Amino acid sequence: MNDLQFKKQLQAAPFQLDDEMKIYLQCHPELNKMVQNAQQLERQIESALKIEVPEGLEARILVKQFYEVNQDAEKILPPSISHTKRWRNWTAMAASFLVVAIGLGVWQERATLFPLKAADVIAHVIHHMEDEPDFMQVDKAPTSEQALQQLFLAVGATLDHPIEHMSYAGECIINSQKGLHIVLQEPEGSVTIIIMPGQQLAAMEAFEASGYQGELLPVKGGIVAIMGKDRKQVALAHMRFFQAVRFV
Amino acid sequence: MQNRQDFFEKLVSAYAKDLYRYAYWLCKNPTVAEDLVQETFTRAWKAIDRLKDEKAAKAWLITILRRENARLYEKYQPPFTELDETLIAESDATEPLPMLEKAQLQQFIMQLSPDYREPIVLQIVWGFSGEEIATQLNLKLATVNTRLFRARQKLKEMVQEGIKPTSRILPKKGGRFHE
Repeated sequence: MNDLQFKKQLQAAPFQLDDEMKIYLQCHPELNKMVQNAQQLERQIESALKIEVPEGLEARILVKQFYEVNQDAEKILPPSISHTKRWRNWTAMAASFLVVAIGLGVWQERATLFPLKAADVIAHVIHHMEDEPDFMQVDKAPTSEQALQQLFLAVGATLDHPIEHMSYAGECIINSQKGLHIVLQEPEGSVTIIIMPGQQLAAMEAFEASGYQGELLPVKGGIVAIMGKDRKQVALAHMRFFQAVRFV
Repeated sequence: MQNRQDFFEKLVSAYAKDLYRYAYWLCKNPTVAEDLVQETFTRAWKAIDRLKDEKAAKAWLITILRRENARLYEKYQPPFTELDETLIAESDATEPLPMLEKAQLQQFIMQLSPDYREPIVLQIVWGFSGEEIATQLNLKLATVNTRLFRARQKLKEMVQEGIKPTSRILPKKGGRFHE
């Protein structure tokens, strides 16, 4: 090795000195300064290359993929899995019941949808969530498929299969109306989902309030609010929820 | 299906950020970079069953992104400012390099030719070895080492000589990078 080769190799990878370079450096200690300079510049380059990534990038990728999967699922029937079939049977039964219930006028609340301002809904759901902190900790969802299906049926929805990571599901009163309160346990923390039937919102709304990230989603016959500590959590919960739940 | 979904989420969690950084330095535009990353993951999801070895995921994603960039945007690449070719600065052995503002160094990096910029991003951001870069870019290892060397040499020259970075990256006529 000579000085030129040493410099070339150093500049190609300043932190990867092989044995031959280390020996050469020991014999030529005057080159130590050059190594330090190269490594100092390397740290600066590394820092400069690691540009900030737009917030919510991962969430947007997952949401896009979720919608594409669902589009594909509409074209291709899912594989027949007994578990899925069983849920589909319940779903079919639940949907039939719902149609009858609406026909008979049992579902009074759905007859009239109340238009609301997004800011008001956000205030209600945050207030409601903070009033019920225990729901985020407990593991208390109905264990039977029938009971769970009935909970969703009561808010105008059916389940195609259980929602992944769900730790809590129960009726609640929000803004003086019956709703459904759901908690999912995501790896980075819990996410709250509240279904508010009989209420109406003009368009989807993402929000950030009281330290929570969230979204309000208009669905058939109501509103769904999803709230978590960051956008990724919300996107994952969004995906898991709509993979399992259908509004009828 | 669930395993595929879990695996996909792991890929997004592990690589989305660095893929965005790579795309950004490739196309020099944040909006296009995000589009490229989105498109890369869309294609990755569709072909995820073909990825047999999890360890190959990094190179696989980069390959998809490069292909997408070539297909969708490469013809719109803005020109770069070519600098004088100077191989080895002899006077730098003892002179400490000035500390730079991050933004200034980013502008210098932007001015590097894509041929020099891309290997250095793969090496530093993605931790690729010279051999891996050579495979990815379909180059000889010696060529990769030369480009890595020249990329740093040029950056060092710009830092030492205080070359003012161009404040605007001008588009090619008809290109989409209007500033």
